[in-house]
Amino acid sequence: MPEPNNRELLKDIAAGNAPALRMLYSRISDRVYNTALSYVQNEADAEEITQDVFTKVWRSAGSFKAESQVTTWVYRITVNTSITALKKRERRGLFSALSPREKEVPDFHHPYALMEDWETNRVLFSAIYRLPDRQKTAFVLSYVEELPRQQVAEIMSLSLKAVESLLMRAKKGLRTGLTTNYPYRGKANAK
Amino acid sequence: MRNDMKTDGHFEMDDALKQLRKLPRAAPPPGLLRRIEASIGKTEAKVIPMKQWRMIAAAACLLVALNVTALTSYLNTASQQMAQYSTSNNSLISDFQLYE
Repeated sequence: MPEPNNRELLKDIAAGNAPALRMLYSRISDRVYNTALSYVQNEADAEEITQDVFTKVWRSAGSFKAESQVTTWVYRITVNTSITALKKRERRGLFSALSPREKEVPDFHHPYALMEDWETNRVLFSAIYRLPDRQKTAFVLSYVEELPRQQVAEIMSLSLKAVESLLMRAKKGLRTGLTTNYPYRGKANAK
Repeated sequence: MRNDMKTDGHFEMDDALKQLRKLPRAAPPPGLLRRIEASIGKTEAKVIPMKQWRMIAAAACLLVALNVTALTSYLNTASQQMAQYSTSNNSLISDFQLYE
């Protein structure tokens, strides 16, 4: 018997079928968790977001429109939930009212980063964290999740051109962030 | 020459993207699915809380009873007033029938 595709699973989930949710989870939970982790850069928060996302999938599977892919829909929920979580965190920050432009960047180490790449990854992720929301979304989906640009455009409900423009700005912002926060990297590599 | 290129922004960016490509997708911890299923169960239980239903029903009954009482007392008062009005009117009419 062939395995059901994601759409069929979502139909079953809408009918209250718990094993279907389990199967969908086994297929896409790492995408959801990894995207959330790239956003919030904290494992506990990423777990909470993943939990929220799958609860939302369970509750609103019936409202899924078959116009897009299931993964596109789930990515959209993940991005929105992550942005909401970040905003909550910013509001919680003690000095957020005093210095709204300064984001408190978490000291994040990707769980699967090699020891020798720890520092590079830390600086890289903190530069990603500082990006504005839309640039961050375009960058994370394109370069961390490695999704095709067309799917990124669908997730963000933007045109392909707008996504390309956001990516250009994100790269520029990252370049500036990397050179200002990590000025000795080139010299260290050259030794 | 090479050192200059390494501090150049372009090189940094390419290097950064390579770093990202090297990273495998992080997977959620093994117990998370169980937690999600438990939270879904809790949410569903929240949807039909019997106690709340009973309280809603009691509040609705009370509201209906209050309305009925108010309406009855209003009708009673209105009919009494009407009776009073008509008797006083009759006496007025009978007392001041000047042209009969």
